[in-house]
Amino acid sequence: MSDKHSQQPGSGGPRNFGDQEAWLNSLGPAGQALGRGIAAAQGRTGDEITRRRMWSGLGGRLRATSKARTAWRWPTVVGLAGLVLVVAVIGALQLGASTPANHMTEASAKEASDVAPERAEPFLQGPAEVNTGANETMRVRLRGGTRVALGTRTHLVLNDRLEPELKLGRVVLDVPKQAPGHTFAVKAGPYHVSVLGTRFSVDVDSDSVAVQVVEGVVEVTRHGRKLRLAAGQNWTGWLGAPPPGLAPDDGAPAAKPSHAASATRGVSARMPVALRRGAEASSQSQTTSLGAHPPPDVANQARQALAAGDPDKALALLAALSKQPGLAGENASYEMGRVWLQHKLQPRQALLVWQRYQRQHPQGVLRAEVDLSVVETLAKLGDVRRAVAEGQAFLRRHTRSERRGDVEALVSALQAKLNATTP
Amino acid sequence: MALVGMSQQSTRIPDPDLVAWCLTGDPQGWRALYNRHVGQVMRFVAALGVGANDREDAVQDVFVAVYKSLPSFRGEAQLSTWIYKIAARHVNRLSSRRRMRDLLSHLLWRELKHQPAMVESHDSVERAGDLELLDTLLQKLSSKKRTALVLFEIEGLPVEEVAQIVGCPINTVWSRLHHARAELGKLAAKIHARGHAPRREGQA
Repeated sequence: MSDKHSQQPGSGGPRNFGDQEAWLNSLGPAGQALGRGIAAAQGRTGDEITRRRMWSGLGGRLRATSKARTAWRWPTVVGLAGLVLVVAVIGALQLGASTPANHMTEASAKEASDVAPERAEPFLQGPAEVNTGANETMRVRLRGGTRVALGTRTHLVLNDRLEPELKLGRVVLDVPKQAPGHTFAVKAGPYHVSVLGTRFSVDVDSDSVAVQVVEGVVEVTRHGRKLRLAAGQNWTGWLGAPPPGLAPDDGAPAAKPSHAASATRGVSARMPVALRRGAEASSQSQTTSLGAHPPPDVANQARQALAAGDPDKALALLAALSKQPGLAGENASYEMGRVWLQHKLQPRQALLVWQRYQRQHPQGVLRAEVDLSVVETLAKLGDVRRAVAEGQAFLRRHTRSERRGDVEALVSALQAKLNATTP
Repeated sequence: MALVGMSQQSTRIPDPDLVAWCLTGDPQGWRALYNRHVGQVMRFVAALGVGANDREDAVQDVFVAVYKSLPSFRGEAQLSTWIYKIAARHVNRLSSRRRMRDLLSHLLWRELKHQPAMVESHDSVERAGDLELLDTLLQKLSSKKRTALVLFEIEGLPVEEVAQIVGCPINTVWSRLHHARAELGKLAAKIHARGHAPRREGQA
């Protein structure tokens, strides 16, 4: 039982106001139950999967909020925007000389200054290291015509073999078509992202690498295993151990490209680029080039439809969103099941939706959550045998899930019920 | 690869720097803020009585409100205090809306749709019972007493911070806590005397 106030000096109060432990002890056995309840409530902070799911949902809502805020504020910032643009252009032209961590050769600096202002991007000819700060973005050019746009707080290294390695942050790359037998590759952690002439982005943060392909084809390789991503597809790999609930080999690309939906598992749960002020045009066009898919605020519209008491509309919106690759699509699939269960009160339909998710995203980011929902729903329907079977499958599949305890308890209770009723 | 872990970064960053980072529009700043406070918000809205079905939406709503209001955060209080305030306000609004909806449904002679509760995350059936008991008892308190009690007993905040969040004098907070404890104790004793705790739906 956690009593934070007993450690607080002078938390003071009326003389007859004892600390939590004294209060609960004064209630006897009822106080003990209350105390256990308080301790349980203190631990109710949501598991990793729930947090990631909420984060992915939050991204779309904040994007919509940002657009709405920008729309009515633009008259007041247009003057500032002009000033910022001028400063950015001046800064970009002078960046090669002023950024302390940017080691450029004299030849590349000269070339940069000789080029017309609108094309004055630093040209990295030899080993180099580029860091952008919290408010900085930058473009550089590499040998062979590749152009790289660096996001904020990004650390890019050009090694002795002149191979780019992304240490942290985000880059968007424009790679011209490579000569036969040649490939361009960027290293990100243990992964090599090879391209054949395309446009794509790579994100590295503390625990994962994410690749999103705009045009062309990209291959992600690790320890000889390869995954090929086409335009519109994205993929996330783990730098260390995968989070609880995900299979240990989630980080390694499959040996052969599986179904398109599987190849797009796990969009990095990062804020959309559009939220960044001064976002590079290349980054924005990267998000809009996925325009064949529903607009990003569809999830918000679905939520509003539910709030307005129109679950059918929400289902239609989520169905369209579920066709999108990545976490947005997976989340929409999962949400459809919740709408069928909690708003339409049709648990069997919910089961069908979730079972479809299991087939389409065998190693999806939300697989553990879906599996758990299937177990719970079968139990509620009274289909004890199937609930036990699914529960045991959950325990085999998700060896490190934080929900194992819940499932173990549920399976035990159901098995006891099954044994009691079976002659 | 020598990377500074995101969680390590976010715990090293003082509140003013984290806020400034977010205000630059950097997504990583927002991620750090979310990671730092999502557990607190989740625990708080749950204790205030937001049902499991609505909890994730409520948490997202709070962070949207934080996103909208962060430019006006002046740093007079801790960031966590400010976020508690936003969350408490939002949950109160949700409760009012739910009461209005229930009242309208009742007036129009519609049956309230029964929504099956999501199974909570519990280590054991007993723990589920204790938590459900607490949730049930907390719902019997008035909104003001419940908020004060949750902030003090579950969130473990000092009474000065509770007063800042609920926007009333410290003595008023003590009074609410005193009455809340008394009521909770009586209710718990009554239930215990009856010999059972509320059962979870579908529980065998």
